[in-house]
Amino acid sequence: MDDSKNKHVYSIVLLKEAIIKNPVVTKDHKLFEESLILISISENLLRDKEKFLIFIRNLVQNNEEIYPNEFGEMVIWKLAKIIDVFEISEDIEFSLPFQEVYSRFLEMPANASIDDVVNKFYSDYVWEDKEM
Amino acid sequence: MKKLHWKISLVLLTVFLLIPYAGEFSILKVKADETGQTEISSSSSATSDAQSSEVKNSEQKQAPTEPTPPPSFTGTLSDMIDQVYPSMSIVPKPSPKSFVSDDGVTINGQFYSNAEFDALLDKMTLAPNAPEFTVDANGQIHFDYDLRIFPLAAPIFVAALPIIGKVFVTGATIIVGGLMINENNKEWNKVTSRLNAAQRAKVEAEKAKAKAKAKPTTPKKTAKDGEDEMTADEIISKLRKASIRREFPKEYLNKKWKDIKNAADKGNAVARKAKKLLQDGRFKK
Repeated sequence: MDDSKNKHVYSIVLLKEAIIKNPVVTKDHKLFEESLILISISENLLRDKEKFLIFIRNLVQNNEEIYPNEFGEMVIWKLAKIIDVFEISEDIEFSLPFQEVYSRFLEMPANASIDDVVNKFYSDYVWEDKEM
Repeated sequence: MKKLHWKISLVLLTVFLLIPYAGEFSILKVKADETGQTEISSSSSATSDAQSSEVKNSEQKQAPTEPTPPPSFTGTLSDMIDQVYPSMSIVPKPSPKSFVSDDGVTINGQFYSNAEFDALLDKMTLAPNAPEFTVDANGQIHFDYDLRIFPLAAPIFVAALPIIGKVFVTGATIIVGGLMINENNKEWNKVTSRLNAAQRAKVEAEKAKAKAKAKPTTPKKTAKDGEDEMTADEIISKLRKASIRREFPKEYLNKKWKDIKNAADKGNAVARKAKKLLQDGRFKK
């Protein structure tokens, strides 16, 4: 899938959403996580947006475990949006499939949608991933 | 006979109705006496000998019976104003024996050299109930009070000097003892700068007092002083917003912070999530 030639390091800003399965406690907020990762991928993969989206979604799913909270509800973190992609010119080496370099949580009202988060925190959003 | 009967009944009825107010009459009488006394004592020095002997007589008459005024706000209106606003107490009148000369000042006939006067100014203390004021760059004194209560021309007792006595300020004049100092006077800047320094020191002292009062007695725990040994549950209860419990992994709730960090550093995804939730400053209380 990933062409070993023409690999470049990219920094990608991801927006993840916490989904509570079978809630037993009334929702009082919705939590999102912004995550900035470094990843080494080929240019070809990036050009094919559909493939790139599947690749990133799988990457997130493989690295986020489903776990229970203290109320007995299951917490699932899933990819909500790719906010931005930036090619890094310098050679950065890392052994892991990707390296997370920044993370912050965004607390929103319980009925907030992904668009609400984008409008509030990324009003200059341009990277199209409508398929998600 | 019938008329006389009616008259007696009317007099008795009047006396009966006035009995409950008998005490009030005596208070009113004292107030009226005090008002009269104040008016007489505040009259000019040119009062005739007859008048002054009248004052003496009235003082002699009242001296043995006049009780010490109580600390509460009672008495005549002028007494009450003095109790509420002592800064407006009696102002020394300008004395012909007070004047400024090149080598010093003479106050009530007593000469103070420039150095002596400066030394006394350095020992100036603000009046305890003096209203707040500021001195601008031009040496003008501005009071921060309601002009409806303090008329503009009323001299305000602002400070006291050892030996010399009280310092009053009016709109354009400072009265030191009996010495009137105005803006054209060489002593004006000395006195205003000293007043300014005293007022600033007072404000700074009040600020420091308020700051010391506002200081929390028990500082909040930080990661440096104890979170390592606290469990995630304890940290959330004491130092984080309760809302993060919803996304916090149950298996790390009763783990110590240092153990969560270790697990996260080893690559455990759930521990990493727990670590990130505890580290994010947005959830700190």
